[in-house]
Amino acid sequence: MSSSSTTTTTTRLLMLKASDGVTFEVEEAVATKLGAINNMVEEEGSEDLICLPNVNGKFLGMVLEWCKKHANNNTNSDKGNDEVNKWWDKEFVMDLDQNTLYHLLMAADYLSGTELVDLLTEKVASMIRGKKVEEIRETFKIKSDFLPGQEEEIRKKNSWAFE
Amino acid sequence: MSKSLRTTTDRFTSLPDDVAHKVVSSLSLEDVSRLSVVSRRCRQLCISMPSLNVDVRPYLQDATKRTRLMNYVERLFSLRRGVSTHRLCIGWFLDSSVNDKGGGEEEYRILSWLHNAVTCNVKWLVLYLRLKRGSAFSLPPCLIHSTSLESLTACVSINSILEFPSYSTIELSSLKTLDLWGVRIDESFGNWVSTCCKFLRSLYLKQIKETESIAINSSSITKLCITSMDYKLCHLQVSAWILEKMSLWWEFDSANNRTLQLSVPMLRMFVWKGNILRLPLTENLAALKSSASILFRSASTLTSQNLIRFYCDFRNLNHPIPNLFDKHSQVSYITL
Repeated sequence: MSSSSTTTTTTRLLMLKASDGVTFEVEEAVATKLGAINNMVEEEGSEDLICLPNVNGKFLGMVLEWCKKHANNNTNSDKGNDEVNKWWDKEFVMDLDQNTLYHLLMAADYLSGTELVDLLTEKVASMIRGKKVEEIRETFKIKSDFLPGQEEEIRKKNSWAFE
Repeated sequence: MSKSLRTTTDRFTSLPDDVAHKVVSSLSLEDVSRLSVVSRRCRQLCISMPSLNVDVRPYLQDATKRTRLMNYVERLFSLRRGVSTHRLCIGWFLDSSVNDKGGGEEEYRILSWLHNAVTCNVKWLVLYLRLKRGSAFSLPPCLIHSTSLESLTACVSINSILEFPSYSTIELSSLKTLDLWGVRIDESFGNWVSTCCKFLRSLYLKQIKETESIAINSSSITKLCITSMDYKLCHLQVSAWILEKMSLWWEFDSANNRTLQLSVPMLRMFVWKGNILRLPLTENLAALKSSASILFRSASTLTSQNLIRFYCDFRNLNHPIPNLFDKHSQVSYITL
């Protein structure tokens, strides 16, 4: 899913290479929504090919898809834009399975995509909010590793949150 | 990344600390409290989160829960011994405290959290308090003694007063942003700003209460906002060498004995709202740099017999000059 550049002709194109060799051609304005890439562009200047050995092509693609939407929506500056972005963000995280959410979050964090990290951590938080201890364990498949008796003690100290 | 290799393979606790902390920080303390029972790693994440959010709003009608929330905050602070608190956000309604007389005990506890946060090198502090009508809350002096605090926002409800501590320190402050609502300051405030706040960039004094005179001398602030609506402010003096944006909303009943002195050579934007009768301004604003612009938020207050002229150059403004001056006003502007 490399990006087409049919709409704009003036912006510079960057090649991003993922860990599995998949490459993406993206406009600079889109890629620099990611802090890490912005830094590389500023430091290295002329280099058009950027290798990202810590990100898999599948997730890099998703991160770039998000960047593209946000870069596009930022250019035409009317008030409805925030709403459009919010709606689009909602769609973006709605059906993410946990595995994808995890890898996407790791990719966004590695690439310093602050806004995307915020969006995804909020999604994770929404999976915890209002849930009982057992439900959280089940959601994330977490096993309790407290010593015998320790959990009861901690539970007692946190009992205000169980009523 | 090595953390993702630990034995737990679930998709939450294997997140790196800073990402997991972001998740935990956006939860309510009740959720945090529950999460800390899930596993050892969860508990460690909950105790070590750098940002604490104390919000009383869900428990306004529930005295027991309210007390238990306070106990939990204290327990967290004691468990966190040594963990630095980057950000502390407190939202509390002292006016509706149901479980003690007058909210005195709750106020005491809030003060102790603030002390704790300062001890834990807090950088960001946000305090929103609702107080009983006519009452006052005194910010503890430890806040202005803190050398780590970079941003302080403190706000009290309308009809109550936020008391700013008197200047009594030579400790250099790291504050970059100071945002105070409903604040009463004394004359030492100006001294403190000019002596200790060498890094202060943005200063917001909104709804200033019972303060007659303010003098601000600063070589670092670039943004200043002052609003005074209780008719008490008489003298305002600002000397700020690199101030770029200033907004002033100043209401008073009589212009007698009011003075405004500005020495702001780099000012580029001046937004004014409120009563501006008879203020000796012409001279001062003539010193504005050529790209300065003056905006009026409420032109209606300009319908006075007093001719006030604003010297400024509109050539560098991208937008057409808005129709700010109504036809009865004698205010005029000229282009230099």
